[in-house]
Amino acid sequence: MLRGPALFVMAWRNLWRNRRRTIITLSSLAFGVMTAVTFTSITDQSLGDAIDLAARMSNGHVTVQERDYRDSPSLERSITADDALRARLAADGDVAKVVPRISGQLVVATATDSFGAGFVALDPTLDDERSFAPLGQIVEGKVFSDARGIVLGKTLAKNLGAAVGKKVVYTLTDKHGEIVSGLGRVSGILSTGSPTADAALCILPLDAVRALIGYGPDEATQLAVYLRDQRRAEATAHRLSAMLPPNAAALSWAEVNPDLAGFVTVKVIGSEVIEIFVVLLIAAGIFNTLFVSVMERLREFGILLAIGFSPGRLFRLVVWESLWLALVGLVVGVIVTAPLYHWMHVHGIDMTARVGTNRVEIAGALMPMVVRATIYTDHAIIIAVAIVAVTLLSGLYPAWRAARVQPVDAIKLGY
Amino acid sequence: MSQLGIGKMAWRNLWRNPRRTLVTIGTMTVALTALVTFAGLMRGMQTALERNVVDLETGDVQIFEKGYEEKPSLYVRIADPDALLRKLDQAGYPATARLRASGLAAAGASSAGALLVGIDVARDRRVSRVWREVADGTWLDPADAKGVVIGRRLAKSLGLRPGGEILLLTNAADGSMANELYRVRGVLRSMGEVIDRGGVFMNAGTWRQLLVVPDGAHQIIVRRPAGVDLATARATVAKIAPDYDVKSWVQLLPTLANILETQRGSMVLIDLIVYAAVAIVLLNAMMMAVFERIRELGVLKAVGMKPGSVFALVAVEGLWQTAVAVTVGLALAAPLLYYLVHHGINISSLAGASVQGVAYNSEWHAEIDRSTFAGPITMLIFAVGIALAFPALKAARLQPVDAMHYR
Amino acid sequence: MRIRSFALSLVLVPLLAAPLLAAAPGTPEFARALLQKVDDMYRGEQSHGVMEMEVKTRHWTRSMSLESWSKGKEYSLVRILEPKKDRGTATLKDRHDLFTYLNNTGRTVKISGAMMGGSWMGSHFTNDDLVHESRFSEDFDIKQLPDDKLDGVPVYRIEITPKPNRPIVWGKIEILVRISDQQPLKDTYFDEDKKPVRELALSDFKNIGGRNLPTVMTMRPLDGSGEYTKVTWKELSFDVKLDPSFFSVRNLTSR
Repeated sequence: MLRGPALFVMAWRNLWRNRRRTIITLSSLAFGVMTAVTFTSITDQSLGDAIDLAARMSNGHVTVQERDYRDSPSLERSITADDALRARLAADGDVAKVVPRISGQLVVATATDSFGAGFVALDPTLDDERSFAPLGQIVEGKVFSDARGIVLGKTLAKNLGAAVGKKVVYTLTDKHGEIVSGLGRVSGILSTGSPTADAALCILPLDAVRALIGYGPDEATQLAVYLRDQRRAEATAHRLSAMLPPNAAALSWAEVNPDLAGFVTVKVIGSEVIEIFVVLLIAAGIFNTLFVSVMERLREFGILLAIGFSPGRLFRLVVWESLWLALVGLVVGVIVTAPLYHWMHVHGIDMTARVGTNRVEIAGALMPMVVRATIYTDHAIIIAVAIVAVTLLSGLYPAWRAARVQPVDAIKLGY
Repeated sequence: MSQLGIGKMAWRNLWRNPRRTLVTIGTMTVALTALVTFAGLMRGMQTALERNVVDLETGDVQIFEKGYEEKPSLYVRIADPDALLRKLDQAGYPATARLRASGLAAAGASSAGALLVGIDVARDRRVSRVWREVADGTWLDPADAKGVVIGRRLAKSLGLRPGGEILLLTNAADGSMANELYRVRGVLRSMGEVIDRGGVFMNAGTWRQLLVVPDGAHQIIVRRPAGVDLATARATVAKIAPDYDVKSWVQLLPTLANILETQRGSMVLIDLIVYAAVAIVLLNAMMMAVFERIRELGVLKAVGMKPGSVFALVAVEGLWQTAVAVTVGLALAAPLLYYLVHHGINISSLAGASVQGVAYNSEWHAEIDRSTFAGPITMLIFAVGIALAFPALKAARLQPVDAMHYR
Repeated sequence: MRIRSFALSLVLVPLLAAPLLAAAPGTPEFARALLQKVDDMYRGEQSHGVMEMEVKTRHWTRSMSLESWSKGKEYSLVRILEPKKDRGTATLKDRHDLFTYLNNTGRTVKISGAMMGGSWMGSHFTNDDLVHESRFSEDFDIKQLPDDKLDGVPVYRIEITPKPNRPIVWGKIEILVRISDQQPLKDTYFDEDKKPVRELALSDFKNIGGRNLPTVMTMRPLDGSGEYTKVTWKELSFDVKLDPSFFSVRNLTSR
C-alpha cells in the first residue's frame, strides 16, 4: 500500500505541473460559464419582460374571475371581493398587488357618431402604468380624477369627433341584462401604437361603472394580481384558488393568454436546445484537454502502477484532477462573469446601433433596444452543477484509459 | 526549404502523431459543425417566432382602401381586387383578398358580436395557415355554401359544436337586415382575441350573398417571397398598389414587432458570446497542440531550419488541419442542416400538453444563407491563427537548446 | 350614418293636438309646462297604425311599409309589411328589452348592448333610441327664447339643455312650436360646440284617427350628405285597447 499525499492533493499538484495547459483549460471553463450565464440571463430577462408586459396589458400575472368568465365573458359573471379577501390575497408572499377591475364591451357615442369598443374600468389610485400599461400611454390630457372621466384611444376619439373636455355617452348591458347609459367627459387620449387598440379601447372609473351596472361596492369582473416573480404564477394561482369563494377561480397568465404561453414555450424550448449545444461544446474542449494530458503521462502512470498504485486509485486520481479543474474553473468563471453580469443587469447593453431592420415607433419615439440580464437562482445553480458534471463526465474516459495502462508497455515504449 | 517542401513536411508532421492531430481536428470540426448548426437554428428561431404571427392572420403586408384601417366600413373597399391580385401573382407575391363585416352571431338564447370574414378558400391557403388550425371539425369547403368556421370562444359562449346551427345577422349593403342560418363546420384553436371571441369564416360567395356586396374586397393579405426582406416587400407592394394603404405587419402590430425586435437584439449579443466561447475552446486546443511540440520544433532549429521556416511550418500545419476540419465539418453539417431546414425540430412534442388548443407554429426550422457558413469559418480561421501565432513565434525564436529542454 | 335620437318616441307615438295651456307664454313656467305636457301625453297612450318609412343614405335608398302598435313609451311592436321579402320581420320593445324577429330564418334575437349602436330597421334611428327614455322635464333645463318665424309661420322657440350628468350626447336641442295651435314643427339637435348636427321636421298636418297630427316626420342629418329618414303615417287609430301582454315574444312571431 502506497502511502503519501492524499489523492486530492496529488491531483492538485498534477494540475499545476503543466501550468500553461491548466490555465488554458481553466479559461475554457471560465468562458463556458460566462457563455452559459450570459445566454441564460439574457433569455430569462427577455422572456420575463415579455410576460410582465403581457400582465401589464391584461389583468395581471394571475387573474381572479368568475369560473366561467373566460369562456363566456359577460358582466353578469361577476365576483365579490371584500376588503378582507383582497387583504388575504395581497398577504400572500408572492403577491405584490391586487386590484379590482371591470372589463367588457360597450358602445360609445357623441353627437357625431357611435362605435363599439372594449372598456376597462379601474381605480387610478390603485392602478398605475406599472399595473396597466395603457395608463402610461396617455398622450393628451391625463387619467380621470373623478367619476365623470373617460379616457379614449386616439383613433376612437378621432372617429367620434371627441377631444379632451368633450362629453361622450357610453351604453352597455348591466348586470341584469338591461341596457344602461352613462356620461363621461374625456379626460385623456391614449396612443398604444397599435391602430386596432387605439380604435377600440377606453378606460373608465371603477366606481362610476359599478354604480351604473348595478354592482355592489366590492363587486368586479376581475381581480388583477401582480407578482414579484412572474415564474411563480402557476403555483400562486393554485394557492389563491383555495382562498376564493366557489364561484371564482384564479388563473395564471398562461391560462388567460394561451397565445403568449405558446410563444414562451417556443422560446424556452429553443433556449434549452441552445444550452445543450453550449454544454456539449464545453465538454468537447474539456475532453480534449484531459485526454491529451492523460495520454502524455502514460509513462508516468505506468510507473505509478508498477510501484503499487491500484488502477482504481489511478482512476480516482484523474477524476480528482477533472474535479479540481471543474471547481476552480467554476470559481474563475464566476469571477470573470460577475462584472459583465452586473453591468448587464444594472445598465444593460444598448443594441440599438446594431439591430436595424424592423424598427418600431411607439407614440412617435423609437424604442431603445437595451438588452438586460437577470438570472434566476435556480438557473444559476443548474449551470454550476452542469459545468461540474460535464467536466467530470468528460474526464471519465481519460481516467478509465489511464487506469487501463499496462505498466510494462507504458514504461518500455516511453510514452 | 521550398514551399512545397514545407507543405509536404507539415502534412507528414501532422500524421506522425495521429492521435493528437485527430483530436485537434476533431475539436475544430465539432466546433465548426456546432456553430454552423447553431447559426442556422438561431436564425430559424427568429423566423419561427415571426411566423407564428404572420402566418396566421396578418401576412407580411396588407393592402386596404384609404381610410379603412382607421374606420372600417362595409362600403370602403378596394374596388378591383382581382387586378391587384393578378399583378401580385406576376410579381411572385402570394396574396388573397378578404371581405369583412361586423354583425351578430346567435344560437339558442345567446348572441355575441361577430366579425364575418369572407375568404377565397383556395387562395387563402397559400397565404395563411388558419386552415390548419381547426381544433374540432373541418375547414371551409367551397362546395358547402352554408358551412362556416368559428372562433373558439365564440363557440363556447354560444354553446356550439361542429354540426350546430348558427344565425348570422348584419346590416347588408343595401340597407336591409341580412339574416341567415348556417352550419358550423369547424371550431378553431385559440389564435388571438378578435378571432377567438367573434371570428366567423365563410366562403367569399356566401359572404357576398349575405351582405349584398357583389364586388370589391376590404383587405388583401400578401406574403413575401423567400429571400425578400420585409421593407423591400412592402415597398414593392406599394408600387403595385399606389392608390391604397399598404402596411407591413410591423406597422400593423407594433407592440409585437417590438417584442420580437428585443428578442433579436439579445440574439445578436448571444451570437457574439457563443462565438467568443467557441473561439476560446479552439484556442486552447491549438495552443496546447503546438506547445507540446516545442521540443521537436527546437530540434528542427538545431538541425538548421530557419526561424521563418519553423514559423511557416507551424502555420501550414494549422492550415492543413483547418482545411480538413472545414471539409469534414461541412460534410457533417450538410445533412444535419438539410434535415433541420426541411424537417425542423418539432417543438410541440417537446412541449407536451401545455400548449394544446393553441394555434402556433410548432416546427422550428433552421435557416441558412451565406452568412451561416461565412461567420463560423471566418471565426475558425481567426481563432486558429491567433492560437498558432503565439506558440509558433515562441518556437521560431527559441534557442534550440532551450527548446529541447522545454517543458 | 347612424343618428341617436330620443325623439324616436315622437315617431312611434304621434302627438296629440294640444289644448291651450293655462300658463301664459313668455313666463318661465310656460315652456316647462309645454314640455311636461308632451311628456305626459305619451304615458298611457295606445295606438295602432300603418306607416311608410323611406330611408335615403349615401349608398342606398329603401322604402318600407310598417305596421305598428304602441302603449306609452314602454311597449311597442313594429312589423314590416313591405317589401314582401322582409314581410313578417318585427321589432318588439317590452319595457327595457328589445327583440327582433327575422322572418327569413324564423329566429328571434334579443338585442343586447353590443347591437345597441346598430340602426333600427336600417333607418337613421338606432336600437338604442327605442330603448332609451329621456323625460324632457327631468333630463333637461328648459328655456324659452324669443319668438321667431319658420317659413313665415310664427313659432315659439324653446331651448332645452341636458342637465349635468345626464347621458345625453347633445349640447342642446331647439324646439320650434307653432304659436297658433302649439304643434311642434321642428327639433334641431346641436352638439356640445353648439353646431347643428341634425333636425327632425314635422309636416303635413292632417286629420287622422280623430286628431290633427303631423303625418310626416323627417329626420335629416345636417352634414350635407343628403341622407334622411322620412316616416309617413298612412293609417292611425287611438281607439285600441292594448294589454301589456300583447307585447310579447309570442306575438312577435305570429303571422
